[in-house]
Amino acid sequence: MIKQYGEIFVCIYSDAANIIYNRITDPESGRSCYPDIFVRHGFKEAAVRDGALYAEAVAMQKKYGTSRCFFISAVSEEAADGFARVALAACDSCFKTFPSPDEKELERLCADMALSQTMKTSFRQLMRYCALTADAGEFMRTMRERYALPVSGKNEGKKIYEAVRTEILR
Amino acid sequence: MKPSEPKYFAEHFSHIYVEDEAHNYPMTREILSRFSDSEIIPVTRYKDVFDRPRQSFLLQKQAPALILAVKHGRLIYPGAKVCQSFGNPHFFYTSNIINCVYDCEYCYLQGMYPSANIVFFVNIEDFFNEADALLAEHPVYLCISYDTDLPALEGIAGFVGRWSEFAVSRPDLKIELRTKSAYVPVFKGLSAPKNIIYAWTLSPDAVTDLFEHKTPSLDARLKAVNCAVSSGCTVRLCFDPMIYIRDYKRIYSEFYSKVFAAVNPDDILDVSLGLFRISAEHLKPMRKSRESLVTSYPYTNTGGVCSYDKAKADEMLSFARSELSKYIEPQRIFEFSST
Repeated sequence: MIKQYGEIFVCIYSDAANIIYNRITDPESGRSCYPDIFVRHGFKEAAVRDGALYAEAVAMQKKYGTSRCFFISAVSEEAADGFARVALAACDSCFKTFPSPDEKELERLCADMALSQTMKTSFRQLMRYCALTADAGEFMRTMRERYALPVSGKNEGKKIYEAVRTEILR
Repeated sequence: MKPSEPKYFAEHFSHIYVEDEAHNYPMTREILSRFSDSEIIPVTRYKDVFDRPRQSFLLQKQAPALILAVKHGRLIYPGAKVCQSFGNPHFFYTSNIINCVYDCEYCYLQGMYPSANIVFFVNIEDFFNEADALLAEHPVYLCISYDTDLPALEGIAGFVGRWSEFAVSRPDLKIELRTKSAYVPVFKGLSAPKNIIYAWTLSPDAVTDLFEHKTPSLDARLKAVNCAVSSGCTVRLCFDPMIYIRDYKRIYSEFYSKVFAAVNPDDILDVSLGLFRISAEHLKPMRKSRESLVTSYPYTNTGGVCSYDKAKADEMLSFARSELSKYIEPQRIFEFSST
Protein backbone atom coordinates (compact mmCIF):
# COMPACT_ATOMS: atom_id res chain seq x y z
CA MET A 1 0.00 0.00 0.00
CA ILE A 2 1.38 3.41 -0.92
CA LYS A 3 0.34 6.45 1.07
CA GLN A 4 1.08 9.98 0.04
CA TYR A 5 1.84 12.66 2.60
CA GLY A 6 2.37 15.92 0.73
CA GLU A 7 5.47 15.25 -1.34
CA ILE A 8 6.47 12.14 0.58
CA PHE A 9 5.44 8.64 -0.45
CA VAL A 10 5.44 5.79 2.01
CA CYS A 11 5.11 2.24 0.81
CA ILE A 12 3.83 0.03 3.61
CA TYR A 13 5.06 -3.49 3.08
CA SER A 14 3.54 -5.27 6.06
CA ASP A 15 2.19 -4.74 9.55
CA ALA A 16 4.47 -7.25 11.25
CA ALA A 17 6.74 -4.73 12.94
CA ASN A 18 7.99 -1.15 12.70
CA ILE A 19 10.81 -1.45 10.17
CA ILE A 20 12.29 0.87 7.58
CA TYR A 21 14.05 -0.83 4.69
CA ASN A 22 17.45 0.50 3.70
CA ARG A 23 18.07 -2.07 1.02
CA ILE A 24 15.52 -3.82 -1.18
CA THR A 25 16.80 -6.69 -3.30
CA ASP A 26 15.26 -8.53 -6.20
CA PRO A 27 16.05 -12.19 -5.43
CA GLU A 28 15.99 -13.13 -9.10
CA SER A 29 18.45 -10.59 -10.50
CA GLY A 30 20.36 -9.92 -7.29
CA ARG A 31 19.97 -6.19 -7.94
CA SER A 32 19.28 -3.88 -5.04
CA CYS A 33 17.89 -0.43 -4.57
CA TYR A 34 18.73 1.86 -1.68
CA PRO A 35 16.21 4.38 -0.36
CA ASP A 36 17.77 7.44 1.29
CA ILE A 37 17.21 7.44 5.02
CA PHE A 38 18.09 10.86 6.29
CA VAL A 39 15.36 11.17 8.90
CA ARG A 40 15.56 10.46 12.62
CA HIS A 41 13.20 7.60 13.30
CA GLY A 42 12.42 5.08 16.00
CA PHE A 43 11.97 2.16 13.63
CA LYS A 44 14.32 -0.77 13.29
CA GLU A 45 16.24 -0.84 9.99
CA ALA A 46 16.61 -3.88 7.78
CA ALA A 47 17.15 -5.16 4.28
CA VAL A 48 14.45 -7.12 2.49
CA ARG A 49 14.41 -9.50 -0.48
CA ASP A 50 11.18 -9.16 -2.46
CA GLY A 51 10.91 -8.91 -6.24
CA ALA A 52 7.60 -7.07 -6.27
CA LEU A 53 8.73 -4.54 -3.65
CA TYR A 54 11.99 -4.05 -5.56
CA ALA A 55 10.09 -3.27 -8.77
CA GLU A 56 7.81 -0.87 -6.91
CA ALA A 57 10.78 0.82 -5.25
CA VAL A 58 12.64 1.31 -8.52
CA ALA A 59 9.55 2.76 -10.17
CA MET A 60 8.81 5.08 -7.26
CA GLN A 61 12.38 6.33 -6.98
CA LYS A 62 12.46 7.00 -10.70
CA LYS A 63 9.25 9.00 -10.45
CA TYR A 64 9.65 10.82 -7.12
CA GLY A 65 13.34 10.69 -6.33
CA THR A 66 15.37 8.67 -3.86
CA SER A 67 14.67 10.98 -0.91
CA ARG A 68 10.91 11.21 -1.25
CA CYS A 69 10.06 7.50 -1.03
CA PHE A 70 10.24 5.35 2.05
CA PHE A 71 9.61 1.66 2.34
CA ILE A 72 8.45 0.49 5.71
CA SER A 73 6.52 -2.02 7.67
CA ALA A 74 4.34 -0.48 10.38
CA VAL A 75 2.27 -2.13 13.09
CA SER A 76 -0.34 0.61 12.89
CA GLU A 77 -1.47 3.52 10.77
CA GLU A 78 -0.41 5.85 13.59
CA ALA A 79 3.13 4.52 13.44
CA ALA A 80 3.29 5.05 9.68
CA ASP A 81 1.74 8.51 9.95
CA GLY A 82 4.16 9.50 12.70
CA PHE A 83 7.15 8.47 10.62
CA ALA A 84 5.83 10.30 7.56
CA ARG A 85 5.19 13.49 9.54
CA VAL A 86 8.83 13.70 10.56
CA ALA A 87 10.02 12.96 7.02
CA LEU A 88 7.75 15.63 5.61
CA ALA A 89 8.83 18.20 8.18
CA ALA A 90 12.47 17.44 7.38
CA CYS A 91 11.88 17.91 3.66
CA ASP A 92 9.90 21.10 4.16
CA SER A 93 12.60 22.59 6.36
CA CYS A 94 15.19 22.08 3.68
CA PHE A 95 13.78 23.85 0.69
CA LYS A 96 13.37 27.58 0.40
CA THR A 97 10.99 28.75 -2.27
CA PHE A 98 11.36 32.02 -4.04
CA PRO A 99 8.66 33.77 -6.03
CA SER A 100 9.08 33.15 -9.75
CA PRO A 101 8.62 35.87 -12.32
CA ASP A 102 5.27 35.67 -14.09
CA GLU A 103 5.84 33.52 -17.18
CA LYS A 104 3.25 35.25 -19.37
CA GLU A 105 4.56 38.71 -18.55
CA LEU A 106 8.12 37.51 -19.21
CA GLU A 107 7.10 36.21 -22.63
CA ARG A 108 5.28 39.46 -23.42
CA LEU A 109 8.26 41.58 -22.42
CA CYS A 110 10.65 39.47 -24.49
CA ALA A 111 8.36 39.81 -27.49
CA ASP A 112 7.96 43.59 -26.94
CA MET A 113 11.73 43.99 -26.71
CA ALA A 114 12.16 41.89 -29.87
CA LEU A 115 14.83 39.85 -28.11
CA SER A 116 16.69 37.10 -29.94
CA GLN A 117 16.44 33.59 -28.52
CA THR A 118 19.83 33.96 -26.82
CA MET A 119 18.92 37.29 -25.25
CA LYS A 120 15.56 35.89 -24.22
CA THR A 121 17.33 33.15 -22.27
CA SER A 122 19.63 35.73 -20.67
CA PHE A 123 16.70 37.99 -19.81
CA ARG A 124 14.87 35.11 -18.16
CA GLN A 125 17.89 34.37 -15.99
CA LEU A 126 18.17 38.05 -15.14
CA MET A 127 14.56 38.12 -13.97
CA ARG A 128 15.07 34.96 -11.92
CA TYR A 129 17.99 36.68 -10.21
CA CYS A 130 15.92 39.83 -9.75
CA ALA A 131 13.20 37.76 -8.06
CA LEU A 132 15.68 36.72 -5.34
CA THR A 133 16.56 40.28 -4.41
CA ALA A 134 13.44 42.29 -5.21
CA ASP A 135 9.92 42.08 -6.52
CA ALA A 136 10.46 40.92 -10.09
CA GLY A 137 6.80 41.45 -10.92
CA GLU A 138 6.98 45.06 -9.83
CA PHE A 139 10.24 45.51 -11.74
CA MET A 140 8.74 44.14 -14.95
CA ARG A 141 5.72 46.37 -14.49
CA THR A 142 7.88 49.49 -14.10
CA MET A 143 9.82 48.53 -17.21
CA ARG A 144 6.68 49.24 -19.23
CA GLU A 145 6.39 52.65 -17.58
CA ARG A 146 10.00 53.58 -18.16
CA TYR A 147 10.60 52.27 -21.65
CA ALA A 148 8.55 52.71 -24.80
CA LEU A 149 7.39 49.17 -25.45
CA PRO A 150 6.97 47.51 -27.86
CA VAL A 151 10.18 48.57 -29.57
CA SER A 152 10.40 49.27 -33.27
CA GLY A 153 13.60 47.32 -33.83
CA LYS A 154 15.97 44.77 -32.30
CA ASN A 155 18.66 47.35 -31.53
CA GLU A 156 16.28 49.30 -29.35
CA GLY A 157 15.32 46.13 -27.50
CA LYS A 158 18.96 45.27 -26.99
CA LYS A 159 19.65 48.70 -25.46
CA ILE A 160 16.77 48.26 -23.03
CA TYR A 161 18.06 44.83 -22.10
CA GLU A 162 21.54 46.25 -21.39
CA ALA A 163 20.11 49.10 -19.31
CA VAL A 164 17.97 46.73 -17.26
CA ARG A 165 20.89 44.37 -16.75
CA THR A 166 23.13 47.18 -15.55
CA GLU A 167 20.45 48.36 -13.14
CA ILE A 168 19.84 44.94 -11.59
CA LEU A 169 23.50 44.01 -11.33
CA ARG A 170 24.85 47.30 -10.08
CA MET B 1 9.92 22.95 18.08
CA LYS B 2 10.64 24.55 14.70
CA PRO B 3 10.91 22.10 11.79
CA SER B 4 14.17 23.66 10.67
CA GLU B 5 16.03 22.42 13.74
CA PRO B 6 18.31 19.43 13.23
CA LYS B 7 16.06 17.19 15.33
CA TYR B 8 14.41 15.91 12.16
CA PHE B 9 17.58 14.80 10.46
CA ALA B 10 19.68 11.78 11.26
CA GLU B 11 23.26 12.22 12.43
CA HIS B 12 25.96 12.59 9.83
CA PHE B 13 27.12 9.14 8.69
CA SER B 14 24.27 7.37 10.47
CA HIS B 15 24.35 5.18 7.39
CA ILE B 16 27.55 3.76 5.93
CA TYR B 17 27.53 1.92 2.64
CA VAL B 18 30.45 -0.46 2.28
CA GLU B 19 31.47 -1.78 -1.10
CA ASP B 20 32.10 -5.54 -1.03
CA GLU B 21 35.66 -5.03 -2.27
CA ALA B 22 36.39 -2.40 0.38
CA HIS B 23 35.61 -4.66 3.32
CA ASN B 24 39.09 -6.07 3.82
CA TYR B 25 41.02 -2.85 3.65
CA PRO B 26 42.58 -1.71 6.95
CA MET B 27 41.19 1.79 6.45
CA THR B 28 37.67 0.40 6.22
CA ARG B 29 38.05 -1.37 9.55
CA GLU B 30 39.49 1.79 11.14
CA ILE B 31 36.63 3.95 9.90
CA LEU B 32 33.91 1.51 10.87
CA SER B 33 35.36 1.25 14.35
CA ARG B 34 34.58 4.95 14.77
CA PHE B 35 30.90 4.55 13.90
CA SER B 36 29.63 1.67 16.01
CA ASP B 37 26.08 3.09 16.07
CA SER B 38 25.74 3.52 12.32
CA GLU B 39 23.77 1.25 10.04
CA ILE B 40 26.20 -0.62 7.81
CA ILE B 41 24.74 -1.45 4.41
CA PRO B 42 26.69 -3.64 1.99
CA VAL B 43 26.76 -2.65 -1.67
CA THR B 44 28.28 -4.41 -4.65
CA ARG B 45 29.62 -1.25 -6.30
CA TYR B 46 29.63 2.20 -4.73
CA LYS B 47 28.10 3.70 -7.84
CA ASP B 48 24.95 1.65 -7.21
CA VAL B 49 24.32 4.17 -4.40
CA PHE B 50 26.29 7.21 -5.49
CA ASP B 51 25.07 7.38 -9.07
CA ARG B 52 21.37 6.79 -8.49
CA PRO B 53 19.24 9.15 -10.55
CA ARG B 54 17.01 11.79 -8.91
CA GLN B 55 18.85 12.18 -5.65
CA SER B 56 18.32 15.28 -3.56
CA PHE B 57 21.62 17.01 -2.99
CA LEU B 58 20.11 19.41 -0.47
CA LEU B 59 18.44 16.74 1.65
CA GLN B 60 21.51 14.56 1.63
CA LYS B 61 23.58 17.54 2.77
CA GLN B 62 21.58 17.65 5.99
CA ALA B 63 22.37 14.02 6.84
CA PRO B 64 25.05 12.69 4.52
CA ALA B 65 25.82 9.01 4.39
CA LEU B 66 29.31 7.65 4.10
CA ILE B 67 30.33 5.34 1.29
CA LEU B 68 33.51 3.27 1.58
CA ALA B 69 34.83 2.13 -1.78
CA VAL B 70 37.82 1.09 -3.83
CA LYS B 71 38.75 3.34 -6.73
CA HIS B 72 39.89 1.75 -9.95
CA GLY B 73 41.34 3.04 -13.18
CA ARG B 74 43.11 6.37 -13.29
CA LEU B 75 43.52 7.92 -9.85
CA ILE B 76 45.45 11.12 -10.60
CA TYR B 77 44.23 13.57 -13.25
CA PRO B 78 45.67 16.60 -15.04
CA GLY B 79 44.57 19.85 -13.38
CA ALA B 80 41.39 21.48 -14.72
CA LYS B 81 41.52 24.69 -16.75
CA VAL B 82 39.37 26.55 -14.20
CA CYS B 83 41.97 25.86 -11.49
CA GLN B 84 45.26 27.58 -10.69
CA SER B 85 48.54 25.85 -11.38
CA PHE B 86 50.64 28.54 -9.63
CA GLY B 87 53.17 28.26 -12.42
CA ASN B 88 53.75 24.56 -11.92
CA PRO B 89 54.11 22.79 -15.27
CA HIS B 90 53.03 19.34 -14.11
CA PHE B 91 49.76 20.16 -12.39
CA PHE B 92 47.54 17.30 -11.24
CA TYR B 93 44.76 16.61 -8.82
CA THR B 94 43.39 13.56 -7.07
CA SER B 95 40.41 12.72 -4.88
CA ASN B 96 40.69 10.31 -1.98
CA ILE B 97 37.35 11.66 -0.86
CA ILE B 98 34.44 12.84 -2.97
CA ASN B 99 32.20 15.50 -1.45
CA CYS B 100 32.49 17.69 1.58
CA VAL B 101 30.97 18.23 5.01
CA TYR B 102 30.56 21.90 4.26
CA ASP B 103 27.76 23.28 2.13
CA CYS B 104 28.84 26.21 0.02
CA GLU B 105 26.17 27.43 -2.36
CA TYR B 106 28.72 28.21 -5.07
CA CYS B 107 30.47 24.85 -4.92
CA TYR B 108 30.83 22.97 -8.21
CA LEU B 109 30.43 19.63 -6.43
CA GLN B 110 26.64 19.95 -6.49
CA GLY B 111 26.83 20.33 -10.24
CA MET B 112 29.41 17.65 -10.83
CA TYR B 113 28.07 14.79 -8.72
CA PRO B 114 24.54 13.40 -8.44
CA SER B 115 24.85 12.90 -4.68
CA ALA B 116 25.98 14.74 -1.56
CA ASN B 117 26.92 11.52 0.20
CA ILE B 118 30.61 11.33 0.99
CA VAL B 119 32.78 8.68 -0.62
CA PHE B 120 36.05 7.57 0.94
CA PHE B 121 38.37 5.57 -1.31
CA VAL B 122 40.12 3.24 1.06
CA ASN B 123 42.85 2.03 -1.33
CA ILE B 124 45.23 4.88 -0.48
CA GLU B 125 48.30 2.80 -1.39
CA ASP B 126 47.15 2.69 -5.02
CA PHE B 127 47.05 6.50 -5.06
CA PHE B 128 50.58 6.61 -3.67
CA ASN B 129 51.78 4.13 -6.30
CA GLU B 130 50.33 6.23 -9.09
CA ALA B 131 51.96 9.36 -7.65
CA ASP B 132 55.30 7.55 -7.59
CA ALA B 133 54.84 6.49 -11.22
CA LEU B 134 54.35 10.15 -12.20
CA LEU B 135 57.29 11.25 -10.08
CA ALA B 136 59.49 8.80 -11.96
CA GLU B 137 58.89 10.96 -15.04
CA HIS B 138 58.91 14.53 -13.67
CA PRO B 139 58.18 16.67 -10.59
CA VAL B 140 54.54 16.80 -9.67
CA TYR B 141 52.31 19.52 -8.25
CA LEU B 142 49.35 17.64 -6.81
CA CYS B 143 46.17 19.12 -5.36
CA ILE B 144 44.56 16.58 -3.08
CA SER B 145 41.68 18.48 -1.52
CA TYR B 146 39.64 19.83 -4.40
CA ASP B 147 36.57 17.59 -4.35
CA THR B 148 36.41 17.70 -0.58
CA ASP B 149 37.95 19.36 2.46
CA LEU B 150 40.47 16.80 3.67
CA PRO B 151 41.43 18.52 6.93
CA ALA B 152 37.74 18.81 7.87
CA LEU B 153 37.44 15.03 7.62
CA GLU B 154 40.83 14.21 9.11
CA GLY B 155 39.34 12.71 12.25
CA ILE B 156 37.73 9.93 10.21
CA ALA B 157 40.42 8.60 7.90
CA GLY B 158 43.58 10.63 8.45
CA PHE B 159 44.36 11.33 4.80
CA VAL B 160 46.28 14.52 5.60
CA GLY B 161 48.61 12.63 7.93
CA ARG B 162 49.10 9.84 5.40
CA TRP B 163 49.93 12.22 2.54
CA SER B 164 52.29 14.15 4.83
CA GLU B 165 54.25 10.97 5.58
CA PHE B 166 54.31 10.13 1.88
CA ALA B 167 55.47 13.59 0.84
CA VAL B 168 58.33 13.84 3.36
CA SER B 169 60.55 11.47 1.36
CA ARG B 170 59.58 12.83 -2.07
CA PRO B 171 61.07 16.31 -2.53
CA ASP B 172 59.90 16.48 -6.18
CA LEU B 173 56.30 16.20 -5.03
CA LYS B 174 54.51 19.41 -4.10
CA ILE B 175 51.11 18.96 -2.54
CA GLU B 176 48.39 21.54 -2.06
CA LEU B 177 45.74 20.99 0.62
CA ARG B 178 42.81 23.36 0.04
CA THR B 179 40.65 23.85 3.10
CA LYS B 180 38.17 26.01 5.02
CA SER B 181 38.75 23.98 8.15
CA ALA B 182 39.62 25.37 11.56
CA TYR B 183 40.43 21.89 12.88
CA VAL B 184 43.72 22.78 14.51
CA PRO B 185 44.89 19.28 15.62
CA VAL B 186 45.52 18.54 11.94
CA PHE B 187 48.44 20.93 11.88
CA LYS B 188 49.87 20.43 15.31
CA GLY B 189 52.26 17.56 15.65
CA LEU B 190 52.76 17.09 11.91
CA SER B 191 56.26 17.07 10.53
CA ALA B 192 55.25 20.07 8.36
CA PRO B 193 57.27 19.14 5.27
CA LYS B 194 57.92 22.19 3.12
CA ASN B 195 56.49 20.49 0.05
CA ILE B 196 52.98 20.52 1.52
CA ILE B 197 51.10 23.76 1.10
CA TYR B 198 48.12 24.35 3.36
CA ALA B 199 45.85 26.62 1.37
CA TRP B 200 43.00 28.31 3.18
CA THR B 201 40.01 29.58 1.26
CA LEU B 202 39.03 32.83 2.94
CA SER B 203 35.91 34.92 2.37
CA PRO B 204 34.45 38.02 4.00
CA ASP B 205 32.01 37.37 6.84
CA ALA B 206 29.14 38.59 4.62
CA VAL B 207 29.98 35.94 2.00
CA THR B 208 30.48 33.20 4.58
CA ASP B 209 27.15 34.04 6.22
CA LEU B 210 25.27 34.11 2.93
CA PHE B 211 26.85 31.25 1.02
CA GLU B 212 29.24 29.07 3.03
CA HIS B 213 27.00 27.00 5.27
CA LYS B 214 28.40 24.81 8.03
CA THR B 215 31.89 26.32 7.57
CA PRO B 216 34.06 27.83 10.31
CA SER B 217 33.93 31.60 10.60
CA LEU B 218 36.61 33.79 9.13
CA ASP B 219 37.99 34.38 12.62
CA ALA B 220 38.25 30.63 13.25
CA ARG B 221 39.98 30.07 9.93
CA LEU B 222 42.47 32.86 10.60
CA LYS B 223 43.26 31.29 13.97
CA ALA B 224 43.90 27.99 12.21
CA VAL B 225 46.11 29.74 9.65
CA ASN B 226 48.26 31.18 12.42
CA CYS B 227 48.39 27.84 14.16
CA ALA B 228 49.64 26.22 10.97
CA VAL B 229 52.22 28.98 10.52
CA SER B 230 53.44 28.54 14.11
CA SER B 231 53.73 24.80 13.50
CA GLY B 232 56.09 25.50 10.61
CA CYS B 233 53.63 24.71 7.82
CA THR B 234 53.80 26.35 4.41
CA VAL B 235 50.64 28.40 4.04
CA ARG B 236 48.82 29.93 1.10
CA LEU B 237 45.78 32.17 1.35
CA CYS B 238 43.15 31.72 -1.35
CA PHE B 239 40.88 34.65 -2.03
CA ASP B 240 39.06 32.54 -4.51
CA PRO B 241 36.23 32.55 -5.35
CA MET B 242 35.60 36.25 -5.10
CA ILE B 243 31.83 36.65 -5.22
CA TYR B 244 29.97 39.73 -6.34
CA ILE B 245 27.65 41.10 -3.65
CA ARG B 246 26.19 44.56 -3.19
CA ASP B 247 28.73 46.95 -1.67
CA TYR B 248 31.49 44.45 -2.48
CA LYS B 249 34.23 47.07 -2.52
CA ARG B 250 33.68 48.09 1.07
CA ILE B 251 33.14 44.51 2.19
CA TYR B 252 36.24 43.12 0.50
CA SER B 253 38.40 46.09 1.49
CA GLU B 254 37.54 45.56 5.14
CA PHE B 255 38.05 41.83 4.68
CA TYR B 256 41.59 42.09 3.31
CA SER B 257 42.45 44.54 6.08
CA LYS B 258 41.16 42.09 8.69
CA VAL B 259 43.06 39.16 7.19
CA PHE B 260 46.39 40.92 7.09
CA ALA B 261 45.91 42.40 10.53
CA ALA B 262 45.63 38.81 11.77
CA VAL B 263 48.20 37.14 9.47
CA ASN B 264 51.66 38.49 8.80
CA PRO B 265 52.17 38.48 5.00
CA ASP B 266 55.82 37.54 5.54
CA ASP B 267 54.67 34.27 7.12
CA ILE B 268 52.85 33.01 4.05
CA LEU B 269 54.03 31.58 0.75
CA ASP B 270 51.66 33.43 -1.57
CA VAL B 271 48.04 34.27 -2.20
CA SER B 272 45.66 33.37 -4.96
CA LEU B 273 42.92 35.53 -6.36
CA GLY B 274 40.11 34.53 -8.65
CA LEU B 275 36.54 35.44 -9.44
CA PHE B 276 33.79 32.91 -9.12
CA ARG B 277 33.82 30.74 -12.24
CA ILE B 278 32.13 27.48 -13.07
CA SER B 279 31.80 25.31 -16.10
CA ALA B 280 28.43 25.80 -17.81
CA GLU B 281 27.99 22.05 -17.64
CA HIS B 282 28.04 22.20 -13.82
CA LEU B 283 26.05 25.41 -13.44
CA LYS B 284 22.92 23.96 -14.99
CA PRO B 285 22.42 21.17 -12.40
CA MET B 286 23.51 23.57 -9.63
CA ARG B 287 20.66 25.88 -10.57
CA LYS B 288 18.22 22.98 -10.60
CA SER B 289 19.43 21.75 -7.25
CA ARG B 290 19.45 25.08 -5.43
CA GLU B 291 18.17 28.53 -6.22
CA SER B 292 20.36 31.16 -4.65
CA LEU B 293 21.91 34.56 -5.31
CA VAL B 294 25.12 32.92 -6.40
CA THR B 295 23.69 30.16 -8.62
CA SER B 296 21.05 32.43 -10.16
CA TYR B 297 23.38 35.27 -11.05
CA PRO B 298 23.24 35.81 -14.84
CA TYR B 299 26.82 34.87 -15.65
CA THR B 300 28.40 35.23 -19.06
CA ASN B 301 29.46 32.03 -20.74
CA THR B 302 32.86 32.30 -22.40
CA GLY B 303 34.18 29.13 -23.97
CA GLY B 304 32.05 26.94 -21.71
CA VAL B 305 33.05 28.70 -18.48
CA CYS B 306 30.53 30.96 -16.74
CA SER B 307 31.69 33.97 -14.80
CA TYR B 308 31.03 37.69 -14.54
CA ASP B 309 30.89 39.70 -17.74
CA LYS B 310 34.13 41.32 -18.84
CA ALA B 311 33.36 44.78 -17.50
CA LYS B 312 32.34 43.50 -14.07
CA ALA B 313 35.23 41.01 -13.99
CA ASP B 314 37.80 43.67 -14.88
CA GLU B 315 36.38 46.02 -12.28
CA MET B 316 36.37 43.38 -9.51
CA LEU B 317 39.83 42.03 -10.27
CA SER B 318 41.38 45.44 -10.65
CA PHE B 319 39.91 46.47 -7.32
CA ALA B 320 41.02 43.26 -5.55
CA ARG B 321 44.52 43.41 -7.03
CA SER B 322 44.92 47.00 -5.93
CA GLU B 323 43.71 46.21 -2.40
CA LEU B 324 45.88 43.12 -2.00
CA SER B 325 48.93 44.98 -3.23
CA LYS B 326 48.72 47.11 -0.10
CA TYR B 327 49.64 44.04 1.93
CA ILE B 328 51.64 41.70 -0.31
CA GLU B 329 53.90 42.28 -3.27
CA PRO B 330 52.44 41.51 -6.74
CA GLN B 331 54.93 38.67 -7.39
CA ARG B 332 53.22 36.70 -4.66
CA ILE B 333 49.70 37.29 -5.89
CA PHE B 334 48.62 34.53 -8.28
CA GLU B 335 45.65 35.73 -10.18
CA PHE B 336 43.59 33.21 -12.07
CA SER B 337 43.49 33.99 -15.74
CA SER B 338 41.29 32.20 -18.21
CA THR B 339 43.70 32.95 -21.09
